[in-house]
Amino acid sequence: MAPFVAAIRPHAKEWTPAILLFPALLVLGIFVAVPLLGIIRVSVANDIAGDGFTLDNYTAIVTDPFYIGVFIDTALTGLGVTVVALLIGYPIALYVGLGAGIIRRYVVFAVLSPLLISVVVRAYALAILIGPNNPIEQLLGSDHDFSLLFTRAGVIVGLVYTLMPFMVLSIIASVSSIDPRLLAAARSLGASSWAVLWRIILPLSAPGLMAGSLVVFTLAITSFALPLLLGGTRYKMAVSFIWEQLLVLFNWPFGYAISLVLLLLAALTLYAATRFSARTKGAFLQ
Amino acid sequence: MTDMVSGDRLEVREVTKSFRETRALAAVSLIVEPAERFCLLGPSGCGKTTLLGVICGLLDPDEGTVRLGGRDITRVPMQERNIGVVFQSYALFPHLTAAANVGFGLAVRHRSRTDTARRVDELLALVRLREKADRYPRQLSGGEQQRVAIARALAIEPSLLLLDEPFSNLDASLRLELQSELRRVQTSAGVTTVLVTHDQSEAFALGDRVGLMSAGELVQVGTPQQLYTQPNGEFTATFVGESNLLRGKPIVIDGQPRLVCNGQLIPLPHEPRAAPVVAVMIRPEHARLVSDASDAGFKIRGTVREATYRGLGWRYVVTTAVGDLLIFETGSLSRGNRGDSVWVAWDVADAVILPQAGA
Repeated sequence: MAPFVAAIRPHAKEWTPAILLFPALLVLGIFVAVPLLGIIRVSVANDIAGDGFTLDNYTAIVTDPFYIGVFIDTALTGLGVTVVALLIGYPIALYVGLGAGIIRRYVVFAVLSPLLISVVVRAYALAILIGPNNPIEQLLGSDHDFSLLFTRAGVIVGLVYTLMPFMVLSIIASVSSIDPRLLAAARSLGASSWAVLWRIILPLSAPGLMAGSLVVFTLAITSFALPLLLGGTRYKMAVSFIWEQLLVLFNWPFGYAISLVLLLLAALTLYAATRFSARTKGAFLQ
Repeated sequence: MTDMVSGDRLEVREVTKSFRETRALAAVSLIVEPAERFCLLGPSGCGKTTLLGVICGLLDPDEGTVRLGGRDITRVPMQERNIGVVFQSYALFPHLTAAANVGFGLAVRHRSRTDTARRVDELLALVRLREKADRYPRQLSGGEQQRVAIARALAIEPSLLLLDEPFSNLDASLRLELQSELRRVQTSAGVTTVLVTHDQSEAFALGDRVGLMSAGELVQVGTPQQLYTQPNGEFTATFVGESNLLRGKPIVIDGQPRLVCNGQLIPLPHEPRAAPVVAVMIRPEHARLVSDASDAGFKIRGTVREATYRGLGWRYVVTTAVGDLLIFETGSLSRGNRGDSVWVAWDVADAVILPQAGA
């Protein structure tokens, strides 16, 4: 295999210039890069029209304890979503990735099914499920308050539900690439099922686990509709403040500045994700 | 090696295993004595790997029992059998160093760090890989990976060591080197060993005894010499080494037992058991190519069809009235060329009458 790949690779290099990226670059340039430049410009302006220059907005974000608190709080919620999604998603991924049989396909479909429904519909459905007079309260009687609507827990529940597919698919990819003979070898050496999980499966699926976690975290801290609808005015993530600044207070420069700080955080997380998966792949795979 | 591991006796009794309609093992029984080296030999699909799977606990037999050191382990989970397995692909843990691979079995047994480190060091020294302890499997050559796999299997002081085609992924030259390496390691560890292979020379090189399998059955069990010189049937005679088989009706003329084969009378070394048809095996190295009728043994005329020089000697195929006969002559001297009219001769005592299946 290897000599063949080595033989075709130099040839392949000849005709893979950056021109293949052109269509994507064109679309991204027009619809992302240009607006982004506009946002950057306005974020350092004095008013909506984009006049003047000031760094006051950024200074406010990085010095005002309130906004620092908003970002820390958003990160904590993202972390909560990631941990819960990991705890629920990992066993599912193990079942699908290590097992055999037709039932696995149904499980994968079930995991992916939330993606088939619009996020707004999902948010309103969840609002009923976790809101006042929800099924659990009905079961226990009205004197118990189990409403999670407009709380951090409610937002976490909603985001876990929405982002679970990214976590599960990412882990399945790395779990199903584990050679089953490694598990047999571990057992022959006396490893219990727990020891096999802990010492073989977990380390070998770490790249998928990390990649999934970082993707889920990034999507969680930047997702918009769900936190807005399930958090309402009582529990706000960073995006809710952006929305408020842009559409309620019409303070575009400040709203844009918050957006860009959030974008930077998400980009740093994704960068860490790609760095990590590149490094671990190099260490684990032949 | 300071601490000798004494192997246990393996007893496989009437083990049957089917996969859907296919019968992979048909009532296989086998005893391997403590510290013995036993080779399961057979063509692919004969059930030898299935038998290995049943012994190590990867597969459950449909019927029959497996006993190790007197203990019935038929239903004991794999991780509680204390059987070291060397997989065909080695199955080294890619995220662990050579030393951590070797120490894996001790780590899951919660041995102390110092104990584990000492034992790992001992085993890496045994397989001569001490200086590569910190390498990852992908940084090791195929032969080195295989030695790590053997050391890892021996680290748990197994009652039994199983090896599944351990040399099939290696170059021919490396194979010979590692075979003698395995003999040395196995002897110093003193562990009962069962090795699966489809390669007869490997089985002969490594087995005190060899069990020949075909179609889910153990056809013949014996020392390499027994299998080669006294095959119990045509399968053994043809699978183990090369042979000439002559089939025919046995008769007795003037008190001499003979075989009627294609109208020729072939003398037999002794009278066969009553059977309508018997097969006689003549090994190629027992046949001689002679140019005149002066040879003292039995002779039959023929024409040389092929003459190939093999370094150790010449290999001839001679067309005769009883079919094509294979002859192996040692030495570099050519005794006949293609198309030459020759005699094929052998000593009657060297002909082996094969017991007929079911007789």
